[in-house]
Amino acid sequence: MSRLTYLLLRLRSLWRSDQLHNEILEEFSFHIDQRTADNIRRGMPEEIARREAEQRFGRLSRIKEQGYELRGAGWVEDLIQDLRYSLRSLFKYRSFSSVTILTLALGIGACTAIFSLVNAVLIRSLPYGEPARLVYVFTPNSHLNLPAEVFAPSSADFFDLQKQNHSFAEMTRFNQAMYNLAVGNRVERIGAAKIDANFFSTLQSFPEFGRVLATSDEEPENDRVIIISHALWQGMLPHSLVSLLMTATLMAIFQFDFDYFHRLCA
Amino acid sequence: LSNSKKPELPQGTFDMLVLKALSLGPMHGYGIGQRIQQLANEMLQVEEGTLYPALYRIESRAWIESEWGLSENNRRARFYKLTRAGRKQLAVEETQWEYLSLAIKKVMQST
Repeated sequence: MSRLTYLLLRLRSLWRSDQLHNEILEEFSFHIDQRTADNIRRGMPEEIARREAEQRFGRLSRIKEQGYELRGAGWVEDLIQDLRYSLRSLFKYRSFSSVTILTLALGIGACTAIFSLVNAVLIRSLPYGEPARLVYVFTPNSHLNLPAEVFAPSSADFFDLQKQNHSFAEMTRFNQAMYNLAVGNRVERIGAAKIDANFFSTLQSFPEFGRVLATSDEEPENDRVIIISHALWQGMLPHSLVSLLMTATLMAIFQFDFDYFHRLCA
Repeated sequence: LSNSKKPELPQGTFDMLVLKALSLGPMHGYGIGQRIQQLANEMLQVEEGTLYPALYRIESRAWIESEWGLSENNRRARFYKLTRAGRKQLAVEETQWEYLSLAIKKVMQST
């Protein structure tokens, strides 16, 4: 008998535990009968012969249980019993259980949240071409007690930097803000950014539909040119897209994996 | 040694005796006990409370297997049979036992 058939036999015995008990008992009664017959052959009176044979088995039930555990699925029954017991006690000590569950939930939740953040910020690489070569330029202001990265170069500084730049292949600037997207009687708060024509070529990202900004779009009159993300496009109802198009020129929709600033912006 | 106070077998050796008894051919539980006692010239007494747990334990290790058959007096009885793994195990235990008993003898015979 291979290990596998043995395991199957034991699992099967879960459904026929009565039969298993009976088999063990039948085996024992055969043994007792044989011993009785032998005892009689040696000259014992029948009654004493049988009693002697039975006594030799000692506590029959204990041996039977041992046999049942080894041969049968006693361990599965034990497991089910333990599970039922633990469920009962969980229910009985409700305050203890709820505190435990709450603690676990908070612990797991906090870990998950921290990991998601670490994963997005530190582990996952930015979804742009050559993310390792991207740098963020800022102009710290020592007069104000604020973190250095709060201050981006002023427009004038930026244009100077762009003109005199020898280190970067390309430079772009952007200004993040929250906007209201009013569609019908529904208003949605969405993150967006004002960008320049170099934005997408600097990040080496390209739209799945339409074209990116051109230098002509930077002219004063063209302030209603928009590019939306795939997520916003998917989430928007058809009639809201129509009303959006009536107020602005939709230039492009971004492919699925392009996520400007990791979903900070729609 | 009196009949009532026979020394107990060292832990684990009984399983080896069961394997040895079954190496002579398939047998039911009662027969295995009788066979061991006969082979030991009645110097050992096999207790039922030792025999059956041992049989089930050895079976759970797949060294023996069992099936229902007919006894010599035509009664339904559970017969045990040595498996190939059991035969291997018996050889291993025999070698170990010979080595151990020789070592113990050497120590005890030193003067």
